[in-house]
Amino acid sequence: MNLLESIKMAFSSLAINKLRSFLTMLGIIIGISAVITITTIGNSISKTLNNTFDQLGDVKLTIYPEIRDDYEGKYPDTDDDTLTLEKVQGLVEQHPNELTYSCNEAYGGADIVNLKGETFKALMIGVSGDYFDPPQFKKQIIQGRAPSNADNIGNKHTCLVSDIFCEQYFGSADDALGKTIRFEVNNQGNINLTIVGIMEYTDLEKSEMKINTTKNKLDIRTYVFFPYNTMLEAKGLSPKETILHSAQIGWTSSCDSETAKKYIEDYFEDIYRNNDTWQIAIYDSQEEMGMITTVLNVITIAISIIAAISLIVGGVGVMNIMLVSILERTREIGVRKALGALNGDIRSQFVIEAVIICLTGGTIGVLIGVLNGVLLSKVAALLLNNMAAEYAEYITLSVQPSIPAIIISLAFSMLTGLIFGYYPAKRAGNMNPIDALRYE
Amino acid sequence: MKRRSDPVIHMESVTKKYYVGEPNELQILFDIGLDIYRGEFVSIVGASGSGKSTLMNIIGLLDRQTEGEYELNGNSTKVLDDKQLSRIRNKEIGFVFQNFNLIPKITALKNVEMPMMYAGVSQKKRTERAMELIELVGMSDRYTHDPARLSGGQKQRVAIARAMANDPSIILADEPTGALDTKTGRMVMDLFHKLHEEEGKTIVLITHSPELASETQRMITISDGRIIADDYKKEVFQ
Repeated sequence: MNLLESIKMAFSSLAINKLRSFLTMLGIIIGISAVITITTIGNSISKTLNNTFDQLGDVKLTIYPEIRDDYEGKYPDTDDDTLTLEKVQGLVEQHPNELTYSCNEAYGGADIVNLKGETFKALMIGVSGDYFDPPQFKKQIIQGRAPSNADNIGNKHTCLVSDIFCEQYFGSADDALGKTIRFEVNNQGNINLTIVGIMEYTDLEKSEMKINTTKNKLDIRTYVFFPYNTMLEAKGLSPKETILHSAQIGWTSSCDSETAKKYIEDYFEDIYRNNDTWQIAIYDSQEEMGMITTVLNVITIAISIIAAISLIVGGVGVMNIMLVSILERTREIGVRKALGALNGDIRSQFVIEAVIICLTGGTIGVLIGVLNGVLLSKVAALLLNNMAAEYAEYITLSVQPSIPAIIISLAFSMLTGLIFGYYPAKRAGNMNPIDALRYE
Repeated sequence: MKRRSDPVIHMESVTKKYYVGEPNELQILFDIGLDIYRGEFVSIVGASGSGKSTLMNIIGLLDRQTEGEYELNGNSTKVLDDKQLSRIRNKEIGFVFQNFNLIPKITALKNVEMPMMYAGVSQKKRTERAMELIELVGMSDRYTHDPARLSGGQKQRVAIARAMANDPSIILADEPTGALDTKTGRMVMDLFHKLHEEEGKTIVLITHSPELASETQRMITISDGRIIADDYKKEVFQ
């Protein structure tokens, strides 16, 4: 008797008692679907994160000063010895062909008088030439361009304003490009900037400004971006005096994030060696992603252990049902033996039946798990769209069930069938044909 | 009476005891000596408890004798292990039971195919042979039915077709009409006569009914575990 025949026979005897077969499978279905759901979600999250990071382009290291772990005493009330532009420039000069830097700082609020003589406010932000490189920022620019590297190096008086700003100043955004506007910056000097680009008034700003949303357009405060170095010049500060809250360190193709990290650590360790209060910390978004993946893996392992327990419980259920079924079919076993079935034929018939129960349960579990994973990922995407609308476009949701998890799950459910089906099957195979035939 | 030198079944001093060596030792068969030849239609008749079922189980290789020699087709069965016994049961013996013992929930055709499946016959040949046998027993119009949808007589005819599947040396029928009414019982008996006369089958019929037994060529009477008569008849039936 060949395997295919046994499988066919097993399916037909399972089909005879559908409800019972299904209930027997339930334990297996629940266990496997839990694992597949969680691995599908986990896999989808890391795939989505990866895709999103890829789309957002350059990943940079953010460095920022923080208080030393071993610092005791009250919080320092000066910014002395914290991160300065000079230090950052010094770092990059040490590795001129490998590292790059960029930084952005708020300059201050400014009052602007428009053509009608009305006054409105804007927030001035000094940005380095690469600030608008990430696609989610770049796509907001609807006319012209952002302040460039050349603007930055040459201390050019250029700026990027929003369409709302143009309406506030000119009444419309149509002819704003190329116009020069005077900004009266609070607590700083005045500065004249020429508009080289117009951007969309973003959702991000909208949500920040929600508190004072009124019908009056002049009450909206928009951002004005202009070159970082121009800001420094306006402030009249030297790089040494320029205190940074943070700076982004990038790297060229001849370097990588690990080397860059090492450069940063070495450089600042030297400078801050004798500083009891401050040190420089590095924030690596990729490392953060690695942590998310680690957490997901831990959750997956935890769920898998629970699932393994449910597989054991399911397996005991299968064994129980197989024993009952063998008792019910004692006569049939006797007849088969009288007709020439070997002990092995009977044994393999029942082992295969148990394996098929488990494997069918496993397959149903996988299908349910994938379905759950897909649905939950869609829900997650919906929530994300509502919460972080401006990034939604860059989040490419990729729902991807974990193939290794599916294979392992199916292998385990098969194994469960083999282990828990073997004992009842062996009992069936070893039945004495005369006793089995007489069984009522 | 035509006899060949080599019997299909040869038994010598066969005994069967249960609980051997224990205080409640029970002997069912005493010193059975028996030769059944190819082409014979033999009945073994006896009251219930006479030991005829035990004898049938030993002939059918479902059970082993305690002492004595049993040769099937000239081969001693003493030395065979369970696996070899199963193989011989499969190829050489066709069982027909009182309560039919068809496998439920599968078609009549599949039931007839079953012994061939265990013999490793290919699906195509199996179906061909099973269809032939089903035609032989007159069940061609119902071969797709499962046993629950067949009457007693129909079930027994399917069971007889199944017994014929691997063209066995003997057909062993244990009270084949016991669960049937007179009319269908008659049909089943006629079928046995047909198999005997037309197909030349060796048939051993176990029954408690002397009338049925009297239809056969040879009637072996068993009582209290001993063969008390072994009669040959000139006329089978008219």
